[in-house]
Formats: sequence, structure tokens, C-alpha cells
Amino acid sequence: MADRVAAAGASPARRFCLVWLSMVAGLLLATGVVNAVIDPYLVVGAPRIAGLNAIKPETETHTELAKDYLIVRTHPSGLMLGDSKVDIGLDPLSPAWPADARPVFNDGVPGIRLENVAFRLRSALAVGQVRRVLLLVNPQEVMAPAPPEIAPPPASRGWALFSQTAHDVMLATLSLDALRASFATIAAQVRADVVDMSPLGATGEGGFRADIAGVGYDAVFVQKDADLIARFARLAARLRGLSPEESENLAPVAALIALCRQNGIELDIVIPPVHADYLEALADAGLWPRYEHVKSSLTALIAQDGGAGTRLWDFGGYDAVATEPVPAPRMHGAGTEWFWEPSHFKKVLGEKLLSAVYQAAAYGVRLTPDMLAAHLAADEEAKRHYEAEDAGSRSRLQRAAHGG
Amino acid sequence: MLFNSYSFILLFVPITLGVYYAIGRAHRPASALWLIAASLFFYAWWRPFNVLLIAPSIAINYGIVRLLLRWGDRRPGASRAAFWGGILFNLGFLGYFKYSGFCLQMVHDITGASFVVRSIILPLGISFITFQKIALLVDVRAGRVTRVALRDYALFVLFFPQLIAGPIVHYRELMPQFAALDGLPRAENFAVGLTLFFTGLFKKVIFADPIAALIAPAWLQAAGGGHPAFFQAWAACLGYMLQLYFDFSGYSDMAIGLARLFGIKLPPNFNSPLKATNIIDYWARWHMTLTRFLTAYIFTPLTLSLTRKRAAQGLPIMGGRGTTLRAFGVLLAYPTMVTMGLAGVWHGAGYQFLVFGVLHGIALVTNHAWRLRRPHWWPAKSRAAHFAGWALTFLFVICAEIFFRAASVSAGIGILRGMAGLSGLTLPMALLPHAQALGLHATGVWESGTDFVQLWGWIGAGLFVVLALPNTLELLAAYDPALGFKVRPAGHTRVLRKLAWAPSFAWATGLSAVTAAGLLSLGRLSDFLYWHF
Repeated sequence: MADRVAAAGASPARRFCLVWLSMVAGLLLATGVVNAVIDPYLVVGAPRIAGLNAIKPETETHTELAKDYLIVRTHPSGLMLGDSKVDIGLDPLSPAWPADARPVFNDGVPGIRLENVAFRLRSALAVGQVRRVLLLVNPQEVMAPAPPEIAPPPASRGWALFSQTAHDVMLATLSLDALRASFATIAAQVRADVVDMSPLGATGEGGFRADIAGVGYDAVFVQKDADLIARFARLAARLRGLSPEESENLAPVAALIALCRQNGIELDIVIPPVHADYLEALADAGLWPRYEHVKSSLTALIAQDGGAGTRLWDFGGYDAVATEPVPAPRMHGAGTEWFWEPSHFKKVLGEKLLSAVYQAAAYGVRLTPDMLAAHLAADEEAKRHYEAEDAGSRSRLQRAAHGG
Repeated sequence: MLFNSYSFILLFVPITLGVYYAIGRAHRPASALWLIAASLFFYAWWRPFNVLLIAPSIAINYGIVRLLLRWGDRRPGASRAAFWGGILFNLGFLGYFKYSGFCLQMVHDITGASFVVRSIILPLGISFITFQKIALLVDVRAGRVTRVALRDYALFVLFFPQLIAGPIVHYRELMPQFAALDGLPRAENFAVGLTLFFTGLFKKVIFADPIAALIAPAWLQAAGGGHPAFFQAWAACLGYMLQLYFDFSGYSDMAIGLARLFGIKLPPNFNSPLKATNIIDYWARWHMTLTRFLTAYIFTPLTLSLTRKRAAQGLPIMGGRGTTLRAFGVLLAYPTMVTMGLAGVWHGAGYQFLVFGVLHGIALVTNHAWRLRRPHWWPAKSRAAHFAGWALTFLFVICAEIFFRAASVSAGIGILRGMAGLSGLTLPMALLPHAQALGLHATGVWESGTDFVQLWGWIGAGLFVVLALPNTLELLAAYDPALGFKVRPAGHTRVLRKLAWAPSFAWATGLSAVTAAGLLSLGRLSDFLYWHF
């Protein structure tokens, strides 16, 4: 080999440098081309070709990046905002959506804080004529002030936007992560139960299906219960000594309402459905009264200025959906109808939710000041009834608290 | 400006090199001035205000060096005063920026007194820069350096490849090389320099950074008072050891490679430390220029002074197996503990760094004692003894390193508890069925199974690289990659003979893959661990 280099006439070291430089350039170019064609993060907008890159599993870890670019190509009239419950549970192609909302874009981002949702709405307004927004609000997020590290990203305009786009395109094409993601994308085309993101931003349920297939519903519920117990304990500790009025963080919701009103957008705020395990874990941490108080606060907030163009929906109570039984540990083949785990609902329940909001189907309740007190009393009664019956939550929560 | 950034690799280095060689052919002093200007720009990139801090310190030190050179032996009293004034000035400068918060915290812990401490931003590379300046003062006073021009002094302190985190270099090693340069680019320097630089970049972005991201949750859990379980604690410990090694040895390779592009050879900083078979050997291989500095400027002077004092008093001194316990304690254990305690707090202002230094001090003292009083029957040259020595050293090093990384002493103890199995056994949910099939009974937790498998994969690959393969300097040994570097006798293996670097097509191909991988991983910016010291 050394002879081949020396044979060219130049000194071996000089020839070495030239070969090295040309091969580096070639490798970088090849990487860029592969990544641009496979487009694992949906940044480039390359065509989806069946068997090559039609399914995009790598969007699971780059949800926000993918949606930043998908939304530019969608120009949505309807927008769904919120966390992973929106991302996985709500379908932008649902027949329940009113005609003036189409195309609808699912802009749910796992783990997003309310403080950052307004940023996503502003970005959507920059690329489309948004007429309807469905915003999912988790009451426990409103219960406490935002952690200090939460700061909304700066608005990207002009040079900042160009620079951000260049950076994203660079990461999506000229990076080893993207190359690994491209190979993973190609390999995933023949697998079942992989995560995918639709052109309208909806993430598939393949990830949950794979988890359930591995360990079963009971194990997934128990583990998520353990996670909720720890999370609610930390939240309760933060709130100790503070009244709801002192601690509630309504400003981000108020800002979103104001932004929608300024832009003539019809806004539906949704308190999401959760499984009874979730509500019981919340109650065990002493947070149930605060959970109900958030509903009152949001109702009052929306009623300000007559509540024009804004509605609040409550799906987060002890109804027949939330109290569905979870198959026992060794019941192979049995499943749940509505929930993957205590906090994530299935698309089928998302469909039911959208029908209730946009087609007046019988599910959930629209909260108004007139009926609030009666609704909260009914919630309380349903809770007492469920706890008296003990339909399985207690045993799972106990196992979760004692490490499985 | 980070070594591992597009702006540094694609703009700063090519422009600096291009101008350096363009003007160097015609006017060498101008090329040196250009290098000083580029180095100042490099240093100012991070925080321009730092240049204003560091410039007066350089000026004062240069003034003291001039005084020492002028007074020399002719005015010993004034010379001594200038020397100690310089030492105190440098230690005070370092102490103010690095240790004032820690000292006040100690006073608070001891007396309960409260202070309002303003946050002081540490100037980048202050510990390394201070050491080099002190070393020059000592060398000038000892007569080892007899001429220092201002331009040379500025270049010595500011030369950007070694400015922030070493290798810590002596004036007498660096400046004669600059003086001997002819200003012409050499293809061999470029080939060797590029190989070192991009191999270092590869270590940093392909090994250190991914491992750092994967072990972060366990360290965060420990810092928050949590108890990482068995696998997580071991992964955190082994992963951090590998992260630190790949990060710092990668940085050192990059620094040595960069200097070589300018025709300068820096001293080696790492020589496969995790292959060491005892802790004395470990410190001869890990951060070698720091060890050299501490030995030359703290340990040896202290030991010599104590030895002279004892000899003058007619007390026994070190004498092989006949050494008395008291002589050992005064002449070896005490200077070792002082040196390693200082080495610990040099790395950072915090009790955990002191614990780290003290642990290494105890290990070194024990190792010296073992060497003096090892039983005659011990098969020191056997493979089994060799392996036992390596295993013990490795285990000690990774455990002591926990205090180097931990946010506090209690967080470090939390990791050790997990490693001892006192915090249970957990696995990601997705792996439970596989673990149960293997007869392993663990609790399922909601964490990524992919991350778990990836982390252990990186740890396995990292251990293979550091324990089974020759290091970068060994691979390049035939081309004199670092000042005075020689392959140890045990390093001349068949693998090294097969893989030894040459300016061949095969190495150009391999290096291009390494380079492309490095460049393609620059999107995740992260600084080097030792830039904080």
C-alpha cells in the first residue's frame, strides 16, 4: 500500500495528505446524499418511497425537529397543541374535524411545557391561516409555577431563522447521527410495530404496541404508576404550604387565549382523559383538591371577557372510560380499550374526544361557570364510588410503591 | 473557541496556518507575532474580558523574569524577594479566581460564619497558565533559562494548542524549537499532525461525548440524593472513567497534533494509563506533564529539604528495605500526601477533589510501602501478579474517580453504594423478559432499554480500545509524535507492529474515515472536561 502512495512521485507524506483530503471530501458528500434521500427526520422533505424510507421511526427522538419542518409544508388551518398525549393520541385526519379546520396539523411535542406551546402557535401562524386550535392542558402543570429553567425559545426571524434552518439541515444531512438514523430507517421498513410520523404530524402507536407486546399491560401500568407516584410526590413537596391561588400558573394559558383571540382563532382547551390509576396516584399525593381547583380556575379564566371563541372541556374524571379494568399480570391476549398506560390514551379514545368537542358526541363535559359546582360534586361522588368498589388501581399502586 | 467546533477546524486553524507559513518564509519574527495575535483571538473568543485579566498577569510575570535575570546571583536577597513575590502573585491570582468561594465555604463549615460570595467567573485555562508561569520563574531562578525576550515569553504562555489545558510545557522545551524553525511547511509534520488531531477528535466525539450523555442520568440521580442501582452505578463509574480518558487524552492528542502542524513537538500527556499495573505506574502514564510538574516543583523539593534536615540531625533517611517507619513517614508519606492533596484541589475547588487527591495519596504511599517491604515469596514477575496488580489498580482508579465527577462527597458515596449492590438491581422494562430468561431477577424501571444496551456497548468498546490496542503516540512512535516519547518495552506488541502508522494509502483511508466520523459528529457541541480546571 505504501508503495502505491510513493509511486505517484510526490513524497509519501504529501501524497498521504492529498489522499486523506480527497477521501474525507468524498465521504462527507456521500453521507450528505444518503441522508438527504432517506430524510430520517423529515427535515429535507424527500419523497417517501415504500420499502426505502416511507416509515420514519427516528422521528420518535426528533419529534420537535420533524414537526418544525412538516408544518411549513402543511400550511395548517387547524392545529393540535400539547404534549405526547396529543402527539400519539389525536388524529389530524379524524372525520370529526370541522371543514374549516382542514388541513389539521398535530403539533404535539412530548414533554413540552405550556410556556413553550405559545412559541409553537406563533410559528404555525407564520406559515398558515390557523382558524382552529385544540389545546391539551394537564392540570398538574397548571398547579405549580414553572421551574426556573423553563424559558421559551427566542423567536426565530431573519438571520436567526436562516441560521437555525442551516443548522438543522446540516444536522439532518451532514451528521453521523443522521447517517445512523438513515440506516435505522431503511432497516425499520420491514418491521412491525415501529413508530412513524404522518405528513400531518401524528405519531403512530407502534412504540406502545411494542412495549405491551414485551411485558404486558399490567407491568406497563405498574411501572408508569411508580413513575407517577414519584412525580406527584415531588410536586406535592413543591406545593407544600402554598394555597392554590398562590401557586397556580395560569399565565401561559392566558397568553395562549389572548394570542388566539388576537388572531380570530377558535380555541378548544381540553383537560385530557387519564386512567383512574393516575387520578388515584394524584389523590394519594394529596393533590386531588388542587386538580379540581385547576378546573375552576380555568373555567373562570375562560369566562373573562365573555369567553368569546374559547371553550373548556373536561375529560379527566372518574367516568366509564377512566375506570376501565386493566388485564391481570398473566392474562395473555387480553387488552384495554382506551389506555396504553395511565396517562396515555389510545387513538380510539382520541377519536371519541374529537367527536365530543366538534360533533357534540356524548363524552366528557364542557365546563362553564353555571354548571361547574354540580360537575365537581359529581366528580367527587364518582371518585368515592370507584374507591369503594376498588377496581384494581389500589393493588397496582401498592405494587408500584413497593417496587413491583 | 472549542477545538471540536466547525469554526475552529474549518476556519481558525486553516487561516492561522496559512498566514503563519505565508509570512514565516520571509519574516520569522512576524510569524511569531501572528501566532501570538491568533492565540489571543482564540482565547478572547470565549470571553474577551479574559484577555484583560490575563494580559497584566503576563506583563507582571515577564517583569519578574527580567528582574531575576538581571539580579541573578549578584543581588541574592532582591532576587529571592522577586522570586517569592512572583510565586505569591501567581498563587494569589489562581487562588482568588478558583478558590475564594471554596475557602469561604470551608470557613463557614468550620465556624458557621456566613458570607455573601459574589460569583467569580474562572478565566479559561487559569490553572495550566499559572503552572507554566511558575515553572518558568523556578527555571530562571535555578539558572536553567538564561534569556527571555518579551515576544518569546508571550508565545510561550499563549501558544494556542497548549494554552487552555496543556500539555504543561517548559520554556526550555518549547522556545528552542521555535528558534530552530525555518518557516517552511513540512508534509511529514502535516501528516503526523493531522493524524494526531483527528484521532483525538474521534476519541472526543465518538467515545467521550456519547458515553457522557448516557451516564448523565445516573450522576444526576446521585446528585439529587437518589440511589443508582447496581448496573446503573457500575455504568456511571466505568463510563465516567472512559469519558474522562477519551476526553482528556483526545484533547491532548489534538493539542500535540495542532502544535505539530506548526512544526512544534509538545511533550506526551498520556501513555495508556489504564494498562498500569500499579498506582505509581498509573501516575507515570496519566496526565504526565502534571505529574512531572508536581514531582519537580513540589514533591522533590519538599523531599530533598526534609532529607537534608534529617541528615543534618543525624536521623535515618530512606534506604531501601532498611528504611525505618519514621523515615518513610516523614520523607515519603508526608510529601506524597501533600503533593496529592494539592493535586486534588488543583483540579477543582471542592471537598470531593480533596477526597480524590487524598485517596490517590494513600494509594501511592501504600504502593511505595509495598515496594519496600514486599514479601520475598511474592512472584512479582509472574503473569498472575501482573494481572492482580492491574486489576487492583484499575478498580482503585475507577472508584477514586467517582469523587472527581460527583457533585458532592455524598453523591460519590451513593454511586459506591450502588456498585456494592446496596441499592438494588433494576433493568429497563423492555429488557426484563430477556433478563428473566437468563435467570436474572431485577425490578423493571421506566428507562430506555436502547440507551441501556448502547451504554454497555460503548463501555465494552471503550475498554477494548484502552486495554487491548496501542495508543495514538505508540502507533506514531516511528515519526517522533511527541517530545521524548518512547514506546515502553511492554508496548512493543504484535498488534503495534501490524498497526504502526506510516504515510500509506491504508492509513490515509483509515484516517479519512476517522476524520469524516469526527467532522460529522460536531453538531453536538460539548467542551473538554479539563477546560474547567
